[in-house]
Amino acid sequence: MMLKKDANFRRLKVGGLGPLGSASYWLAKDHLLVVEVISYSERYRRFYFRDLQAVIVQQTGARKGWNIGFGVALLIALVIALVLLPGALRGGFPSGGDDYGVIGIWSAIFLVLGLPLLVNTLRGPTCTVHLRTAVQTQKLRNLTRWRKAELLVTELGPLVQSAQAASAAASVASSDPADAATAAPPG
Amino acid sequence: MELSALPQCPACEVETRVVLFPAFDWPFAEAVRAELVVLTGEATCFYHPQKRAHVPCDACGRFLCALCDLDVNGAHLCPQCLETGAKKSRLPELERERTRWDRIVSTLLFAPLVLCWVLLPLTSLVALVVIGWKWKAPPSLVSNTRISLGVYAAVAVLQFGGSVFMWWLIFAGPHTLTTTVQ
Repeated sequence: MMLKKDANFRRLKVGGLGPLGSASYWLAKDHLLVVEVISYSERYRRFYFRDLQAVIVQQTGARKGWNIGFGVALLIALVIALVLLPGALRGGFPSGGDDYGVIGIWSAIFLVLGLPLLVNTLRGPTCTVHLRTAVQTQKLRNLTRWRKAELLVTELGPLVQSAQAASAAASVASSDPADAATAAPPG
Repeated sequence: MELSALPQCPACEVETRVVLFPAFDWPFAEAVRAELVVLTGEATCFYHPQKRAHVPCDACGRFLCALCDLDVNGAHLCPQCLETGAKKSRLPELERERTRWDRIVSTLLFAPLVLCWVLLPLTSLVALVVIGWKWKAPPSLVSNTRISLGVYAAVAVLQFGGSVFMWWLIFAGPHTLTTTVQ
């Protein structure tokens, strides 16, 4: 059964496509399921709420790097455009049909370089996210934006807290029945 | 617990946010030790006759000692049932990977169009065989594999027919017929 048709799972609005494949994040009642599609296989990672020890979000410089790359390319394109289109500086165009073609090509170049720059800036800082359990620290794929990481933490936090509180209570009850009797609510 | 007082990692000075959960402070669970049989007539483990039975397997009912009792999402399973369940995909909790046959078929169908179109009759036929063979394989959990395979089957049939017709045109097409008539 597909997860989106399964009432036991709810998709988190994090993850998505990446350079090596896609990843989607699904919340079940007791675990987080990460589905990674890489080339010809689909991999599943389950993180049970009772086992999670920490979420570690660490900022990276990827956004700055991409912005510098696109910014420099845009600047170079702008300089070339200003050098190759002296008519533009003199205010002499559009003077004919060819000029519209040239303007179209340069607009496309600026769009190709400017749009990713804008999108990258608007999507916010980049980061890496790790989930830590007692036996492993696992990096989450395609979860590279700080805002999305915060969304994951917001969704995951209360579920993990309540699962671990229940687990701790059960462990106290099983280890010391007297403590459990005093801790249990009256009635 | 959140370490909001830690804006930067002290080692690499990168902005970091760490959210800690209560399990972070929990001690490691002590290793379970199976108890030896003390009294005669006590139920013993199916796999370790010298160890005291702790719980029956939820799948096969065999008695298990504490060592053989494997907790899978609240169920008590013996090692054999766990292995069988994992192999036959009966325990979804243990399933770690599935092959995306629809992606393999799509590569078989579309890669030759770019790389080596002369192989089209062969690759489309192989794609059809794979579709028939893997139609009932466990589908993807995130995309509708059956619909994809159905569409690819139609594409494969068209591609096979088209490519065979193309080969016929090249080697035994109308020009051959004209030559024969002359």
